[in-house]
Amino acid sequence: MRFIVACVFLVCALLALLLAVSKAPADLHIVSVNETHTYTVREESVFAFEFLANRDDTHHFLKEAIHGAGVVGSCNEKRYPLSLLSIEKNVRPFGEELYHHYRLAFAPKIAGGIEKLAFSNASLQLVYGRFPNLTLPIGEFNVTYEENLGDALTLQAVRSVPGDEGFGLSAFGVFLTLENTASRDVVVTEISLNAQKVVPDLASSLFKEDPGHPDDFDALFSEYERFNRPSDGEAIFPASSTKTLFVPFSYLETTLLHRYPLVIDYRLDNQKGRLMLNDFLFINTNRFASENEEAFVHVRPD
Amino acid sequence: MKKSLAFFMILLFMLAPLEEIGAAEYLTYQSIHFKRGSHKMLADYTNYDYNRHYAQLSGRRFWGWRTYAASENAPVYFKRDTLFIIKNEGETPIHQNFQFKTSEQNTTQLSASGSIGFKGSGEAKGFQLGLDSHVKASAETKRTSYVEETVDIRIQVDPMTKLHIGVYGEGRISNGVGRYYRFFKNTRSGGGEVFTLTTEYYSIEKVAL
Repeated sequence: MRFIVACVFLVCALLALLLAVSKAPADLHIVSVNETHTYTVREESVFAFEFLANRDDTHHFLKEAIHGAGVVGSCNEKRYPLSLLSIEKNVRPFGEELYHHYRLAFAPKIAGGIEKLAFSNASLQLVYGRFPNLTLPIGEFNVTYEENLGDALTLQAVRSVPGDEGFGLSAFGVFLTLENTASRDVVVTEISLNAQKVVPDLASSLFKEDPGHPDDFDALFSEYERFNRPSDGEAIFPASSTKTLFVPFSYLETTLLHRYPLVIDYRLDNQKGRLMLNDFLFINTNRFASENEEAFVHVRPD
Repeated sequence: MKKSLAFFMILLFMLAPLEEIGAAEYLTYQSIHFKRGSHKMLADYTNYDYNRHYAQLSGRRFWGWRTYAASENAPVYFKRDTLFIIKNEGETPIHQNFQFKTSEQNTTQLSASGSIGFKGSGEAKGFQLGLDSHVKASAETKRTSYVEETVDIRIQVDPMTKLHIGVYGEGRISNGVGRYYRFFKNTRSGGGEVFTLTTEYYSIEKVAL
């Protein structure tokens, strides 16, 4: 009898020890990037959002658990519905730790037609069947659609210039080689990325007479003096000419920009024209490599 | 007698130098340049460079590596290649959708010269005989993985032009020399290089036919 009691005590003591020693799982910590998302939407468009999480044993990034998704603005006034296509999982270092990396790809739900939308502070909302919704800040989110007007100006070459303004590698400006196919002058009046936090500064842009871009972006700065400045924030393309324009970007707030469309508005005589390039991935880099905390948003779901 | 012969054969095998030359994809890039300093790619090392770097190695050792890093995580920029995408030989512009898959990010490629060799393949590839642990860049980047992204764009291709996608990028290079010793005898020597791809940039260019 004493032996049985001793055994029970021993087992209880061991269980208590195990409970004390075993660590409770860490609270879920999700990291997202303060990024500018700007897309030209088509039926086949794919939107991708990337997140890091310190755990992979929760339902939050399980495709089967996600019943709905959409992008919402800061006031939740509108919801841009999305269909989840895939979730890719990987591992990435973040700070001193290894995190689980998730890339969620979505298709737009555009049954009712493509609409224009601009959220300066947007979040991805994931809807689960049995669990509370998860709202993950993603930065800026803008969508528009391709809208070309006239054919006097054509795009011959485009290349983004990367730079690090202190919060991570991002688009610093763009080289554009444009051809005026008309027999009269074309005046480029505005260049836009359809974004709110990053704005091309046409007034500070630089011309180069011959097409071609330097391979080394550091060398670009030594070539500045050879360029001629356009006047009054308008770039004039003489009849039947091809020129390369370097347009720097102004960052109004901290954000990362790797993929963007180009909207080039111009004037031929008194007629307006527009040349658009769909969103294109110009810079392919690790979004989570920045050492500046401002580039990230941390979420700790309940 | 048989035992001594077997021991002698094993000793002979262990001391025999092996000639292996490694190659990596980054060595096929159109151009690759260091951003600053007087760094050199391993492929550009001259006999003088090897001798200069070997002279930096301290004395023999009973067993294992002696290494010297000439470049450590030196930033480079490169032009990888040009992807030919679409050709329009017609008389009217065409609008075309095209897709391409982006390369891996933060991946490591290795190359070697002399009798330094590799073990494994693909992402698990590493230098033989534990040289990895002597190469800081190799050990650091091994933990990382990659994401592949599909780039999808619709663009107008003008008459009598072809469209290219140019792939440029940045990375880091570490290289140097090493000697491997067994029973104080130098059995392997050569150079090793680790290239880590950090960022790729894509450009669109139309070229007249």
